[in-house]
Amino acid sequence: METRTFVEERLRVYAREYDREFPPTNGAERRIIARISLAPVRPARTSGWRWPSAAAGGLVRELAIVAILLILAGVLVVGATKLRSLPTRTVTPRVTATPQVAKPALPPAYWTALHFVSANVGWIAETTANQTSAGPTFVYKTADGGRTWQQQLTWDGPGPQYARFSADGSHGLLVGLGGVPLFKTVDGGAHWQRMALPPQATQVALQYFLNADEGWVISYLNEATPGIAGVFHTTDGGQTWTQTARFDVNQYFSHGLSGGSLQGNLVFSDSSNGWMTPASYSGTGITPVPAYLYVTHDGGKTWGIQEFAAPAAVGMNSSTARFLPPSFVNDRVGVVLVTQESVPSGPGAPTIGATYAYTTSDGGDHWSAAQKVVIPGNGYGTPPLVVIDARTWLTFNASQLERTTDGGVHWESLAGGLPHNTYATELEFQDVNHGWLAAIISSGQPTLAVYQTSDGGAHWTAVTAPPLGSTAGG
Amino acid sequence: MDAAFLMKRDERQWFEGIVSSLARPATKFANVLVHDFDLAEEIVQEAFARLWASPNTPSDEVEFRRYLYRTIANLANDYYRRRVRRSTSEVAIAVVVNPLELVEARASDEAMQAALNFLGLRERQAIYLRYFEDRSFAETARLMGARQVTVRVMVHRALCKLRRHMSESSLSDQVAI
Repeated sequence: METRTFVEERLRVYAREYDREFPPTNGAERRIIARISLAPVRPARTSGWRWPSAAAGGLVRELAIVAILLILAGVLVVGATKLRSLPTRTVTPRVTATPQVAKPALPPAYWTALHFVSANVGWIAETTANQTSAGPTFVYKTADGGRTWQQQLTWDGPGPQYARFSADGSHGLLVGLGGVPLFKTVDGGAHWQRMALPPQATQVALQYFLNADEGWVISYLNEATPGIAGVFHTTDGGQTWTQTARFDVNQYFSHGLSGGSLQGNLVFSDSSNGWMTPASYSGTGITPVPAYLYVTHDGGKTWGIQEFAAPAAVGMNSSTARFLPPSFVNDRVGVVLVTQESVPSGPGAPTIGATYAYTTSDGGDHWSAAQKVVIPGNGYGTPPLVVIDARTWLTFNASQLERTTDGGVHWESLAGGLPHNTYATELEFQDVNHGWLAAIISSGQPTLAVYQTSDGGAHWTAVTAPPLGSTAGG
Repeated sequence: MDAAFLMKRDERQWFEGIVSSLARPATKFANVLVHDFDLAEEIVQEAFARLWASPNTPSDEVEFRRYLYRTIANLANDYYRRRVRRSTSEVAIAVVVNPLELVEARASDEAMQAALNFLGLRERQAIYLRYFEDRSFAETARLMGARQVTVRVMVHRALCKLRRHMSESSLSDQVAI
């Protein structure tokens, strides 16, 4: 028979493993923020009266409920008796204003991908939200700048994590969470072929697709020893996969941690160079090290550490640095943002500190000193930051597009003629001028909309949005 | 910009910070209660939406977390009640990918995983807060809205169940010779 102490220790070990390997919840955060953004105006918070029994226990509450019920019953009986004795007459009720306090409505669907290869040709994916965000998902294509849409593909599952198309739009790849599903086209979407991950990749932890052909998957392997993972590489859109590496995660990806983890994000800037953001932990037995990213220069076969110097007089380290995945404009120029967080050892939410940017102009071999930046809306909103070049970034904050042209130091709001109740969920710019925006429009019942700009966001034009969950297309 | 717009923007930024810091722990908490990643996400989204809409939602993060966890626990309860009502008529819909299964598959302690599934909802909450979030009995009680002594008893009973279940499963693995 196990002892209580032994059970407790096993529970703690299990809890640590559960914590390390829990999937990312970025998508969930985006959907929550999208949903609360649809509410008209949040009712004023009241420090207010609280039910005293939360601290005093259930007995007080139960007695109070019984007392209230008795009083109500008494009032009803007395009221009914008095009503019967009154002469009949017409009463006009007095109308009083009622504050509009409503739970944000659930949108009928979410945009889950948007990609345009030219001013006219693009794809958009929407995932319905009737029951859960698990779909079904519909993929539409436009060849006339969004005037009409043709439904090309549907599947019963969450929306794609990646939508990659070649510059001419002929080759395309749609990849769901964990590599499922994986659809490929070589004729502009007229036909889609469902691909499979390699059979050894049973528990995909990370994936990244550089373009419509090349991608990487890092997956735990179904071996007797837990924690063994492999790197799988494809250059033909998932038709064939090659295992290029095998390693023990607890040994290989455990820099500054008490155990290994594959819980970050994976990004490649070209066929050779890639980065993985580490999980940030603090707690007993963890000695913080300088903030770092895992880096590979041989297409994921071997990985090392790339350290990032903390800003002057800022105590940033591996336990307090939360990296966003690096964004590359091309294979040379890129930027990585890191936010300093202090996580309390006890209960309570992390305290969010300043955000810093590191830039590179040599493909990530060297990074600049940290530059303090300001991200509108604290950088939590959706869509995430769009990096057009090293200094021009765009993001969306409270129904407004925000743009910086000095690498995040100063921002300007671009009203652009969007309705004030617009909430962007997907934002894409082909260049500094041409962009597309997929949004939820808050109204009685939220609706989906698509906008286009050709002057860097100064003006937006609404285009026809595909019909929701239609089987006929638009 | 009108006052309502500015107010909404300020409120939204405050709330987004809370979502960013609490969505992940809240989803992990919900996941332990319902054992379905998609459903856990949906419950957490619903809980945040309710807290956003309520004027009584506290701004203090510690208190906010308490409200959030209580809402999640209530929604999980609702889910189980609905499931019991529907169980005779509904067929489960297959999910394309369930990340929770991946998490659980990776967890090497399968006996512990199986034993946890045998706990009641309140016991699971108590065990999660006490051991997964490493909280004191006082904090666990506060988050659950229960008395400390009640939580101590709940945790004690849950540990006994876990111990008993793991002992039974280890015995069942043995083969008589």
